Amino acid sequence: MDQNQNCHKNNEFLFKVLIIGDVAVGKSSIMKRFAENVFDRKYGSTIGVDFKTKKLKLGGKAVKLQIWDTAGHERFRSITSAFYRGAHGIVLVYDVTRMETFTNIPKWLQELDLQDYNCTVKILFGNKSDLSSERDVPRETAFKYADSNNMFLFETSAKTGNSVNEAFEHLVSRMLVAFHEAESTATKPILSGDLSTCILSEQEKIIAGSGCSC
Amino acid sequence: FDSDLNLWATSKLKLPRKKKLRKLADRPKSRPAPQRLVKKQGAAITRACLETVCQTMKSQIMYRALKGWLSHVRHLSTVREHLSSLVQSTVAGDDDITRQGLTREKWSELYQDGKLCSDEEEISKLVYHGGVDQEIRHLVWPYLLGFHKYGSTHEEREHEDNVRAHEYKKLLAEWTNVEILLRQRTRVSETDRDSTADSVGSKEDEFNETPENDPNDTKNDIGSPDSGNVSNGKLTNGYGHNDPGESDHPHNGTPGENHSRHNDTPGENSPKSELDNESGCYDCETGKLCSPADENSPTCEKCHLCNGGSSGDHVGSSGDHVGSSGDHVGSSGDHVGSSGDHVGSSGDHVGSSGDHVGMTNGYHSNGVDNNVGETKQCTCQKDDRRSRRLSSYSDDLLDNFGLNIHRIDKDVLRCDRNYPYFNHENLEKLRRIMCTYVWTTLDVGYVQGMCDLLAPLLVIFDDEAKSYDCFVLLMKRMDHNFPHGENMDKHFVNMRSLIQILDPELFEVMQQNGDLTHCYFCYRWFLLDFKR
Repeated sequence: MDQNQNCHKNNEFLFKVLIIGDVAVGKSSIMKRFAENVFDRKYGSTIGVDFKTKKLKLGGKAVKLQIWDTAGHERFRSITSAFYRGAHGIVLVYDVTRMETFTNIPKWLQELDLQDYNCTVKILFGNKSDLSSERDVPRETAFKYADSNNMFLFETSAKTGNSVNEAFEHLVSRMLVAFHEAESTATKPILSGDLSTCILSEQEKIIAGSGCSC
Repeated sequence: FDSDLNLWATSKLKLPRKKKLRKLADRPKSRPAPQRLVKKQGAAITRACLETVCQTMKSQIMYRALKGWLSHVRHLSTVREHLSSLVQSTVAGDDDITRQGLTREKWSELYQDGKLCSDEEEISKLVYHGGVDQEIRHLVWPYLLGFHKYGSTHEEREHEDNVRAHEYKKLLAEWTNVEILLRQRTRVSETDRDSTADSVGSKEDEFNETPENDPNDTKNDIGSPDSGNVSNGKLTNGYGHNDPGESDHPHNGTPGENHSRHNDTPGENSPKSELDNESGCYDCETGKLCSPADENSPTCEKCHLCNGGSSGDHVGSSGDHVGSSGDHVGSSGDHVGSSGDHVGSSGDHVGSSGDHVGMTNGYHSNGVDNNVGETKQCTCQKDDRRSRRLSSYSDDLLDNFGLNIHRIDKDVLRCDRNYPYFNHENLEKLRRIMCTYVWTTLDVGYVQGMCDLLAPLLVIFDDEAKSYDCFVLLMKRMDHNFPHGENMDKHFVNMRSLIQILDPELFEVMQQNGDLTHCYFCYRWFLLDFKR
C-alpha cells in the first residue's frame, strides 16, 4: 500500500529496480548501457551498491526508474539485501558464457524470498549474448527455466546494447500492471499513529465547528 | 498528556520554559467543569466553554511543537558532541610549512646519510596537511605504513627488504604449487567430461585400468577423488594442451591417442608415471614453466632435461625454497637433489618463476620426448613425496583457494584499467600479490575492493615484494572496514551525523526520498578510502 502511494507522485511513477546476480555477469554494464547508453569495458567491480536514475515514457505514462546496482560478491550481501525491500522490480542477471552463473539463479531467488520483499515483478537477463562462440548456457534451457518460474527472459548484450532497452521497457510495463492491480485491490488506509494523534484530530473537528459558530 | 509531560520533565534538559509548560499542562484538568455547565446554561456559556477548549487546543499544539523542537535540538547536540569527540585535537597546528606538505626539498632535508632524521609525528603532520610529493611517494609510503622504521639505517632497511622479499618468494612458491594442483584437478575433470562424451572406446580401457592402479594413491589424494583416478594420459593431455575453455574441441581426439600409448606402458608403471608426471610438473613450473608435454608419462627425467638444459638457476632455486617451505614443496627438493649441480644457485628464481606461473594460460608443451624407462627410477621417492605433499592440504582448503583465485582473476582484469600502468605484465604482478595475500589469510579470503587498495601501492613501488608487505600493513588498517569487520557501521553513523549537522537541508531531502540516510551508498568511498 505504502509502496504504491510512494511510487506515484505528481503524475510520475517512481519505480525502484534492483539488479542482482553473480560476480562479473555485467550488472553494472547493463545499468550503464540502459541509463547512459554507453559501454565501458574497463568498468571496475561494484563495491556495495551503486545507483542511477532514468526517466522514460511508456504508454503515455512518465516513469522514473531508480536503478540500484549491487555487488555480486556475497560478502556484501548484508548491504545489498537491505535494498531488496521496497524494490518494485528485480533484474536477475546471469552470464550466458558461464553456466555456474545461471545455475546460481535459484539461489538468488531464494535469497529474495528470505527477505520478505513486496516485489512481484522479476525479470531474467542472460547477458553477454554477443559472445555467441563462447555460449555455455543453451537458449532453450534458459527459456524453459524462466517459463517454469513465471519470469520473462531476455538475452541481452550490454556491449552491443542488444535487447537491453526492450527488456527494461518490458519490466516497466509489468511494474505498471502490477501497480494498477495493487491499486484496484487496495482497501482504504487505516488511520495509523498513536492514540493522542487520533484524539487531536477529533478535537480539531470541534475547533472547526466552533469556528463556524463564532 | 500528563504522562508525556512527566516523561519530558524527567529528561535531563533544564530549561526555564519547564514551569510554563507545567502550567499549560494543568489546564486540561479543569475541562470537565465547563462541559457540565454547557448542559445547564445557555449559548453564552457554550461559547465560553468552546473558547476554553480552543485555548486548551492551542496550548496543546504549541506544547507538542515545542516538545518536538526540543527533542530535535537535544538530538543534534548529542550528535555534535559525538562528532567533536571524533576530532583529534593533536593534529592541529598548520603553519605555512606544514601546509606545503612533504615536498622533495623537505624530504632531502630530513633524510640524511641514509637515515630519516625525523619522528613520526612531524612526518605525519606534514603529510596530513599537505600530502606527499608524487616523486617521493615510493620513499615515504613505507615509513607511513610502518614497513620502514623511523631512524633505521640504509643497511638495516636493505637487510629487512631482503628478508621480506625472501619470505614473499616462499609464499609465492607455496601457493603457485597449490594453484598448479588445482589446475590439474579441473583439467582432469574437464578431460573426464570431454572423453566421456567423445571417445568412448579408449576411455573405457582407461577407466578399467585406473582403479587397479590407484588404491595407494587415492588415500593421499590432494583433491577430489577425481584427481586420484586420473591416469597419466589424461593428465598430460589436459595439461599439455593447456588452453582451457578456449580450445576444448580440437583436442578431443588426443585423450584416446594418449590412452592407447599409456596402455602400452607396463601395468605397474602407470601409477608411478602419473606421480612422476605430477611432481615433474611442480618442479618444472616452480623453477620455470617447462611443463610436461603431451607425452604419456613425462618424468623427472624430462624435468631434469629442461631444468638442467635451459634453467639451471631455477632448479637450484626450487631447492632453495624447498628447504624453507613446507612438505609439499619438498617434492621438488628431491628433484633438485637428483639434478645435482644446480642446487644452491638461488638467484632470482622465484621472481622469474612467478612471472611465468601467473600466466595461467601459458603452459604449453615444450615438446620434449620423454623416456618411459626413466620413470621407474624415481618412483619410490616420489610416492613418498606425493603423500607428504598431498596430506598437507585438505580438500576444503583447495576448494576455498580455488574459489578465491577465481574471484581474484575476475577482479584483477578490471582493476584500474584506465590507468596506463596496468598492462598485462603488471596485472600479473597485481594478481600474484593478491593471491599471496589471500593465501595467507584464507579464513577471510578475497573480498572485492582489496585489489583497488593494492593497485596504488604497486604503481608507486613497482616492486612485488615491497608492495606485498606494504599491502599487508595497509590491510591491518583497512581490514575492519571490510564486511568481516565492524567499522563500516560506525562510518555510516558518522556520515549520517555529519550530513545532519552540516547540511540539514540535504538530510531532509535524503529522508524524503525513500530514506537514504542509512548512507549505504557511501560504502565504496569508505571501503576504498575514497579512491573511487
